[in-house]
Amino acid sequence: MVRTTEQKRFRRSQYWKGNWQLYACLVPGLLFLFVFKLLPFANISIAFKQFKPMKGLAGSPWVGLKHFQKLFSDPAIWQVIKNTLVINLLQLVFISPVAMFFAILINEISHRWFQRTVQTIIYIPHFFTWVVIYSVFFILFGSNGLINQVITRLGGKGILFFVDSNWFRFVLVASAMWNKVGWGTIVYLAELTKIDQDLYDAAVVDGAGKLKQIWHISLPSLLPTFVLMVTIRLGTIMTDGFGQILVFYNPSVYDAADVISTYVYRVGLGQANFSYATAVGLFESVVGLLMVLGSNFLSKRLTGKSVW
Amino acid sequence: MKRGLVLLAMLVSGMAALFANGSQESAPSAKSQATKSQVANVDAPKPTLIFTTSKTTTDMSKEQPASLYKEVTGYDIKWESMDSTEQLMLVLASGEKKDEIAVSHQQFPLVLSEGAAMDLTDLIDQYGPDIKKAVPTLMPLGMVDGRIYGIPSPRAAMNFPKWFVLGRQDLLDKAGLKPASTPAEFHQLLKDIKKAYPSMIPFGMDNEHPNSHLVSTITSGFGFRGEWMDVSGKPTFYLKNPGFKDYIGYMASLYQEGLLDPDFPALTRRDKFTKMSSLQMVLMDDSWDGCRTYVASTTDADPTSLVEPMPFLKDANGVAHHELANGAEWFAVIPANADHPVDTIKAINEIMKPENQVYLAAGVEGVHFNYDKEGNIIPIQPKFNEDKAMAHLFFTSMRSEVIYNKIWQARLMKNADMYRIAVHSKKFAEQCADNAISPVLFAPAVTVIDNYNALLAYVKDGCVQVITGKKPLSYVDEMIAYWDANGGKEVEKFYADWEAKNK
Repeated sequence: MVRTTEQKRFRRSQYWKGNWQLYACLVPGLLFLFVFKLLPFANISIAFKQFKPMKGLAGSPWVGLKHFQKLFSDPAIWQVIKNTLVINLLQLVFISPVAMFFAILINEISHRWFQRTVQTIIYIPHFFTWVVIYSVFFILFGSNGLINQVITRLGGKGILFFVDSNWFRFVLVASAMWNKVGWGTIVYLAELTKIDQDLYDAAVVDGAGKLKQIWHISLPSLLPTFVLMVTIRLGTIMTDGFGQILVFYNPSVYDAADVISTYVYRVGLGQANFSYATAVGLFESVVGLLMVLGSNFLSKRLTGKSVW
Repeated sequence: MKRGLVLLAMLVSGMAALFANGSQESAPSAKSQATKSQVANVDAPKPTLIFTTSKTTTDMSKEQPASLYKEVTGYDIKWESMDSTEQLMLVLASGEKKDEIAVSHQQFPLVLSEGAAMDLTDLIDQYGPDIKKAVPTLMPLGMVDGRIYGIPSPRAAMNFPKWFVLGRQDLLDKAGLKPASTPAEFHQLLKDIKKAYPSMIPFGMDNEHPNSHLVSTITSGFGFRGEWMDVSGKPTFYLKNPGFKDYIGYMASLYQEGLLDPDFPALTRRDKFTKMSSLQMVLMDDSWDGCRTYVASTTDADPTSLVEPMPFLKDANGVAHHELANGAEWFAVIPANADHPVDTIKAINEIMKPENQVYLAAGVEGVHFNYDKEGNIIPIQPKFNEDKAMAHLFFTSMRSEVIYNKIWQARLMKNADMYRIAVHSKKFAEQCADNAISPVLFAPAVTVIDNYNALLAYVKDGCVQVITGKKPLSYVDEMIAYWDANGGKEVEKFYADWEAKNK
């Protein structure tokens, strides 16, 4: 049966009448993207000018690629890029798999009250600010902190977790895990509830124990979500960690912890080099874009799933 | 349907609020426009002025002086805290509206180089006669090429040492230890402290204020004081002072031997106070103004504790050095995009009048204070502390050099420990054979390069890295080369030229 134009129009208007609230919910998100992601594009030219806030963008002189030349000849920048990648990759390697592992463990808890209690406890650190987390970790890992007291009482030599570059990244990763792993389990737990219970029942009939059920049913079911989460995370790998590192780091660990965003903050805002900071930020965004395109491509090839 | 309408109403109101804020931010900002509009609206209601002060967590609107400003100036003034240079630059770059900004002497060159400070010369000539009278000798510090860009504010603790080593005298007495007078003796003292109190940190520092790496009590022992000092007749930056390399090497050795708090690069001043108050630390580098915090809490933890300052160390020639605190510490700046410069100058003019300075900072005679025979202001307690304990927050950048130091000395009495330690440290400063002001104290702000603050931060970070052993002592030579290549030489020449002209 061929639909008339009136019928199509009627169906469309019915569709909008039934769903406009859902589209309305989309507006704040779109507005956010527009204001905070698209509008700033207009100011990219700051990277090519000697920007002085009081002169405005139009009044600041054009300097071309001067800031990019400085960026690539700045001996500090390569260390900063390396730190950004290493710290974020470490967090990626330790946070996502551990969150998935925790989700599986929580899912296996048979007592509902205990499961909920564990979930609540591990979600709490997500709501702490980095300043609070820093205080907790400083009490634990400071030179006179609990961990060092245990180490020295056991006859070991104290470790300067906050001053020794070799240990500082450990503190960053550990504190990030404490903050993010619990919250990260939510998406995996949601995925686990979608697995057909019949699969587990069939596995039990086939004689599979808990570990085999996890290995052959839970893990393969979680893998696409895991890859998706990693893909999304890779997109922000160049920008993540600013708040945490800004609170945690100090000059004696710049060599191990100064990442692009903290470098931009210190050199750009603290020293009023807005144009240089924008050039670094632009470079960071381009690398971030390439990484998310690359990981999305890999995800599509490996699991058949992708962000778009 | 009803639910849908509620949702729509929420969305519309949310967006309206967003755009309302946005339109406020994007109001016209040019100085000329602001001034013109003020002249045109002579009879218009007085605006609420937004003034910023230094970093504070105190809600200033709840403090007693806040309510007095309307009475004194005729304007409602909203007080805000400016936490850091980064926040200052964000405010300036975003065009956020402020009527007055308290800018430290370190930040002032940065604000000038960004062109963010309004030229106040004509405004002060027209509306600020009392401002001129309030800072007669300091005013040139706020000027560039004969024009006023900032109203200088004198140091609160004129001629008192700001930073020095102080600590647990009771513990030293208990262990039979005497204060040191040379770097070698100080080194030995710290070793003896470590021996007597192995679970405590002999000497603590923090990494918060811009010169926290220069412990003035110890730099004295290496023949220098402050950032700039005359060497062979010309102003010399501390990095190039003949004693600096030995000083930084000495500090590195203290760190390596475990005599200096290993956590210091990660500590704020407050973190350091926590260590002192929790009885983990014997000596530390700090100031009289933190005493209210850490002395009381240390005494709570150990009622027998007694915190006292230590004398400035003598160098190889037997001379101790102390840089006299003087000059301008803060500047009142009106941002170039401010909307109410005339009102702001009028308000500041009222605040700077001597009688209003006394009223706002010290209170009413007979109620909050009395004058003694010498004309000194003596607080009446507890009323003074009840009303004026936090009055200094309002006076970061609007102090009269004519009267404020007298008020400050009265304010020092609001806490007995603070008064005792400040007076005691001043005695030690007066005992220094070389007790002088910085040679560049009265020079105008550095505007010959626009990265002076960046250079200072670079050198400080490098010093912390050498002290903690992250970089070798030879890194000092690299820092000197970097300083020279990135504008340091221009700053040296700027100061040398100024000194030659003004000697």
